[in-house]
Amino acid sequence: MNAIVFSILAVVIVVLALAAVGLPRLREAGAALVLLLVVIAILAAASGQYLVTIALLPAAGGGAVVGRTVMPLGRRSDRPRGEPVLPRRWWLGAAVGAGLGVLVVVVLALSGGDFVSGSGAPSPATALGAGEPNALVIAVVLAAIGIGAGLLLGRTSHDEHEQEARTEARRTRDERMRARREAREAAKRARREASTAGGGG
Amino acid sequence: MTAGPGAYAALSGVVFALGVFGLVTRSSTWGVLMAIVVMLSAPVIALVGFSQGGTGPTATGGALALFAVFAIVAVVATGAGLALLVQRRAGSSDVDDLMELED
Repeated sequence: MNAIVFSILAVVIVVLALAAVGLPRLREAGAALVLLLVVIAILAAASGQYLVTIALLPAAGGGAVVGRTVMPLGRRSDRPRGEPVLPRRWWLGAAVGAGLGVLVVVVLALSGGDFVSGSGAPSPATALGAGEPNALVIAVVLAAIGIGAGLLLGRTSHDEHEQEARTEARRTRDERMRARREAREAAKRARREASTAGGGG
Repeated sequence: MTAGPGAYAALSGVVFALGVFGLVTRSSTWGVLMAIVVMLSAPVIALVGFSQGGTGPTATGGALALFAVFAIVAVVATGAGLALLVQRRAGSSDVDDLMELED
């Protein structure tokens, strides 16, 4: 495939993927996703894989129909009003995404002879074949990143639970203080009424 | 000058990374589902690129890419059904709200 055509399609694909995961309105993100599938279908057709194109286009159409009919209409935005555009855990998503993306690039882009067992040609099926030191190292790094991501996500969840507990404790304390204040005011009022009644009698 | 399998693989890696970013940062079940579809579309790009190896398009990469497309369709069908069901039962499509159902 011509490198210039590929570059143009690649830029469009990256922009649409970014829009599909980043646009706050779900309908707009869904439209970007459908367009992404269509552009990937065009890429497949330009690469000579017409069957993939034929399979992808109905998938994109089906996705458009699903998005049009069942996506929530009431709450159109994924982002509550007043919330910042970037999500709170953007750094976590960026780190995990970048790490896994780099690994995918490394695993798939390496097509040298030492990446393949035996004398056959490089192929995706042999990319993670056992017995190759590179594949073993990549598998170990993949596992480590997976565990790290799990720990990070778990830690975030734990933090959220702690925050909820703190919020609950603060709410209970506020309620107790308000109840005490009301009791004090009621007692003061009662004393005042009693002294007024005593002065009058 | 032609684009080789490595270029397709690099594009695939970028798209996959963007999908993971969306998966971790989205708060709506629909948003998460869309991020998963973005992630699943990355192998299709890579496999189309691998089918370019040699003198012309080969059948192996194309067949695998077809399987990946079918996986996307299955995920969208199942995921959309689940998201709709959860939305109807919980009254919300926010995953943070769904976490509170545990209590």
